[in-house]
Amino acid sequence: MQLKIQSYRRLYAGSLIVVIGLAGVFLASDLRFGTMASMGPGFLPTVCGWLIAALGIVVLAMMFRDDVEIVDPPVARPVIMIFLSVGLFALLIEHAGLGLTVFLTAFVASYAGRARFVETLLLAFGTAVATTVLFVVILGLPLRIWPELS
Amino acid sequence: MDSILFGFVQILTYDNVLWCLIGALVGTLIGVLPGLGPLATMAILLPMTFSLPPLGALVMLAGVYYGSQYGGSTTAILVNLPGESSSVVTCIDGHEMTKQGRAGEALFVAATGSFAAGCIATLVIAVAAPAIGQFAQQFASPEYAALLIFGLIAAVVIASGSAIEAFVVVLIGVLLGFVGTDVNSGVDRFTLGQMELLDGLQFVPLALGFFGIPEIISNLETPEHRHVITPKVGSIWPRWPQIRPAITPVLRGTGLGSVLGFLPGGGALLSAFVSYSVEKRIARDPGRFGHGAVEGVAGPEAANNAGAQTSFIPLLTLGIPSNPVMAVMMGAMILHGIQPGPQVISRQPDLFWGLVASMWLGNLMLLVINLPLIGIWVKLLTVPYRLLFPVIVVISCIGIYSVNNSAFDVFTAMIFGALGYTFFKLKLQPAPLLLGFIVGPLLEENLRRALVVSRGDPTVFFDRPISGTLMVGAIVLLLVLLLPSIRRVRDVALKE
Repeated sequence: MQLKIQSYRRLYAGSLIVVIGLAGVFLASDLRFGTMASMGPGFLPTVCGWLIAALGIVVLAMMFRDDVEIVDPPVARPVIMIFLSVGLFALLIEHAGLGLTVFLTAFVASYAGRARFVETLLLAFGTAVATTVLFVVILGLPLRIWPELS
Repeated sequence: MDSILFGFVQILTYDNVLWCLIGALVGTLIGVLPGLGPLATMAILLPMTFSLPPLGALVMLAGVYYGSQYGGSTTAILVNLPGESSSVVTCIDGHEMTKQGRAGEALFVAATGSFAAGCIATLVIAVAAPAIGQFAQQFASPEYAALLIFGLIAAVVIASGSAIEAFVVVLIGVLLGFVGTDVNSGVDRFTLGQMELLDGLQFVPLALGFFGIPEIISNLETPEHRHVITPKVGSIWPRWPQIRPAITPVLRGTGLGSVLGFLPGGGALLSAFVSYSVEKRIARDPGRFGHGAVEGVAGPEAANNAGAQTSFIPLLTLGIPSNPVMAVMMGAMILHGIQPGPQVISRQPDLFWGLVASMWLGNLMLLVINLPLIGIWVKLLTVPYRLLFPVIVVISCIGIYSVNNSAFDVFTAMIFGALGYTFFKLKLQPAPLLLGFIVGPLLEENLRRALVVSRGDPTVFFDRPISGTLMVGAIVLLLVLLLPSIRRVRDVALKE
């Protein structure tokens, strides 16, 4: 019998699972394991990690007998722009104030799809005003509205 | 009965009625709009409920959940878009009825069926929950550990897709639940030296990372092809002969939903699927299904609403979330300083009965506001996604940030967003992960405590009658998963 990879989905999923399980085992290796009667902080994380890794190998083994299955490749533009906009929000929110942060986040996020410049500008501006009114004025969240000067 | 009246006294204040209405409306809105489910919405709204009293906060979040069931069915019927996953079934016959010019009839049956189911499910909660809560008073750590194990395994059995993958995903959730300071020893685990992780991973960034971000990206990957033609609704006041065949399916759906919602891993989605296949199987003429059979709308709609409500029972009586949406509710309760468990009913009766009464009230509101507002909901669908998703991204970010005013949480959400997106690409269902994440710490605590008491003897889980029964049940379920013949039956049952 010849082993041929049928399901690339199982190959990638299984590998990811094994890596996660082993990472758990590795990170728990410094922690005291203990005994059944008095489990240390590392007992269950280690057991859980090995179990995940073992089941990951089972998933890997399934790649030979499954139907042919491939993974759709990611589309670069939405992935990059969405993560960029969320990252931008995280970087700016502490100092730039809610208004500017929301404006830039919404503007960048729009380009994950088919954005039109003027429309996007208006949308980002509208979102900035609306969220500031809703969250700071009405709901009273303790957020800075304007950028920190100096 | 007195208790229910007591609940209405709690809920019929100006503020609480308002929160109920807002929750129901927001729920309907996100139910109508595809691309934002009740789970993500509740996670976003969670930080905004900080300033509310606990009852108001829970009433609003619960309203979002059952409101989304109503909204989802409206768009499923009118434009064949399941705004919310449990409405997928309603599309089949509901949209067919619209094509035949019977949209009004379908909407009426869906709305009144949901309402009837909601009323009955509220009664079921009022009767069953105190009894279960009473029973659970005698639970000690072995029983809790056994119950949690049983619940996690049952959730895996019921989950769609590969069972072994669902099981692994639950375990990954449990692993993520270990992050933070170990309660027993005070040692920090998996914190990678980050101060912010000492209290453990936050639920909101995790939930939005796994459910919000991948959802938005996947919607953008498949280009927009939504051409909404406003359909003719027709009279929303159908005649008796059209309604009559819907009555027994509604009752059957309610019964099914009430039972399935209660099960771990159950809830609205499963209830709707099972109800549809039951109706199809017992129909005298199954050929009509898929061609506008009113039973195919009435049964699942009643079932999903009943299931959505009874899934509150395990949370309110045992402190165990049966599905990810309930995990968010549990997160909300903990944030407001309420420890879910058997003591909630006896110690905080105002909260428990107020929440139960609000479900009935919310269902009534939905019935009254929804039918007249259908035109507006359909109009909302014409808003293109390119204008919606940047707003969703922004609100999600603000939601994550405002839990702890921490930019670190937003970066956490990014990291889990990347992992969640990888999961999505590899078709690993993320729902069991949240369940494992919430249940994991509870399980560890009870497991360790039970083993300390028994001096490391694992038979403690089998000696005691209640935990023994649960453990045997869990083992039987595991065997069921492993036996290929039964697995095939399960696959067929879930596919229908």
